[in-house]
Amino acid sequence: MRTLRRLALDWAYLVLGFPIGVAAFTWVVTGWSVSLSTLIVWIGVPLAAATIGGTRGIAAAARYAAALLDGAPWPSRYRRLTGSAWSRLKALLGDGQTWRDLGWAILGLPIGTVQLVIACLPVWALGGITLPIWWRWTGNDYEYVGFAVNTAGRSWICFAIGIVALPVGLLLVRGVAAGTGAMARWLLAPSREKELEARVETLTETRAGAVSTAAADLERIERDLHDGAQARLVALALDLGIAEEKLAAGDADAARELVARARDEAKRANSELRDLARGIRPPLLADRGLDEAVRALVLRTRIPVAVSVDVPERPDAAIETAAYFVVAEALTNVAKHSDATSASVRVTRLGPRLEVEVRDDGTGGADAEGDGLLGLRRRIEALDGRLDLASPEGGPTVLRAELPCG
Amino acid sequence: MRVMIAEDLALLRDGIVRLLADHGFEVAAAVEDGPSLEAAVDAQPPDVCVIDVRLPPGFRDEGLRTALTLRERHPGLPVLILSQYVERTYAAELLSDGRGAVGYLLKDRVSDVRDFVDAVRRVAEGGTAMDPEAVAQLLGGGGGRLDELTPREREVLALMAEGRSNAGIAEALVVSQGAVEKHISNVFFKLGLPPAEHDHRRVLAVLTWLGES
Repeated sequence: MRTLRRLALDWAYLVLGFPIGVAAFTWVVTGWSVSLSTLIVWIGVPLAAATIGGTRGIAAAARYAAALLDGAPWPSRYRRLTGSAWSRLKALLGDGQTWRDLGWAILGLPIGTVQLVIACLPVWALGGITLPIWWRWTGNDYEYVGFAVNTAGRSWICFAIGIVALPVGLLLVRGVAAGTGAMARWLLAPSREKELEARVETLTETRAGAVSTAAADLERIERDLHDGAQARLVALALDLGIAEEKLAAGDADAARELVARARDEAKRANSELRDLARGIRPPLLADRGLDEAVRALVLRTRIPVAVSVDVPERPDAAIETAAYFVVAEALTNVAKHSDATSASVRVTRLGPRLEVEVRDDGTGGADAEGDGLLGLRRRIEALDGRLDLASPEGGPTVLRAELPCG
Repeated sequence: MRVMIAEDLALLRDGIVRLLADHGFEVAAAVEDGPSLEAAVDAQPPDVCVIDVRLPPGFRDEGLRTALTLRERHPGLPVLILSQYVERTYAAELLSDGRGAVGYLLKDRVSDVRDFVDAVRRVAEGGTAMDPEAVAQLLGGGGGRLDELTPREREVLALMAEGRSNAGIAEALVVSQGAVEKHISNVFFKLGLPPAEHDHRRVLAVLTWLGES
């Protein structure tokens, strides 16, 4: 069954290869000959750019068709086009991938033709195998590989040829699909080196984000401690010191008042420390995990919220906390800005990813660059995840986070 | 009155022991983790247990789990949970068996010595002692029939849920006891709860209702 599916996909890849290959070949040959011949009158320059653009489009189709082979489309990595027309042109012409695309397109015609011929082989073999049926059914005579089929015996010979040819044809389908696929992959898919380069770029960016978020967090914690608990403890010690003096002087009433005040300060210091710790890692989350912590968050929301949490194993603490704060931030925003009448929270584990989605039926127009969401995005990107916000005017708003897990 | 204490921080454990001993309690055991408490309780159940939520080895909710286990084994065993945080979920779990004799207080309430000792006594006698913050969380979900209450009725409900008696509520709100009783019967009617005479049963009915809704 699995082999059959693999063969069907391979066959589909080969069949698609021909039109794509022919289109690519025709496009580049026509496009480049026209552009090069008009280069002298400068019209050739925009024409060449258009040719490159078109080639990229056709190459994109080929990368998409590659999903038949590899399960997922190949990624494309072109240099970013920004700035003046001149710098864009330089980026187009200086991009190695432009020329690899061109090479792939020129090879498109011969390779596409081979792919089509090979794809026909099993069809042709099936024709032979079923020939006895056709011959008897229709009563017509046929010609099979230059062989006149006009008796039952001859039709059975064709059957035998088909039986032998079918496995050979299928093997060729597999082999040629793998071979031409590898060739196209080499030309179209980004090289390992390029992949790594892109990865390093992303990591550098997200690391910078993480560092600045962490620094801002530390600064906030330091400030909270300094202005809050620490200041209260100083006041408390001071009150106790004075109380001690009053006691020594025999003024018990004044001492009692000071001790009561000191106790008050101690309580407030404690409550400030508690709020601070809650903001770092909520206790219910630490104790019981996402499911219960998210449900507790939802209970605090005034509109009805449908919850579905499907996370069989507890993810890492950092991932879990990030997921929790996505829900917390989203529900806060729902309550504050959206005028929503209902919302839903979904946390699902999909293979190696944890998906968090919060959706509301409010008025939309949420700002992805707002303070809360920006901090959240940095935090998530630092964990190698991503955060997307869709909030058109008029709603609905959907906040979706994807986090790597396990 | 015999009391057993499970608290892992020695400083706080000694403080609570001293405080309760000063107020006429007999501290039968003061241990640092759940299993030791279970052993002590199984040997001879006390009148009340005071348990920290976070205990070794995991420092998560072992104290709460110990309390629930003990109450399964000794139905109605009075337990007072102390915690650095208040979680609605935990309050609901404590109340879920409907037997009362439970308390759930923030650790800093210990410094209000008189209130704390009162709370331990109340729980030992089968009453409830809910931290105002826990009550706020239970009430905070809102929605449904709670929205039908007037602000005054909500105040009364909150104080009642903490475990206060009619007299205590009247004192806190500076109104007559008669007025308090009227508010309470309104609350019961609006929430669709059956009337109950005894303070403790009544509080429990309210809390159970809040925990479930």
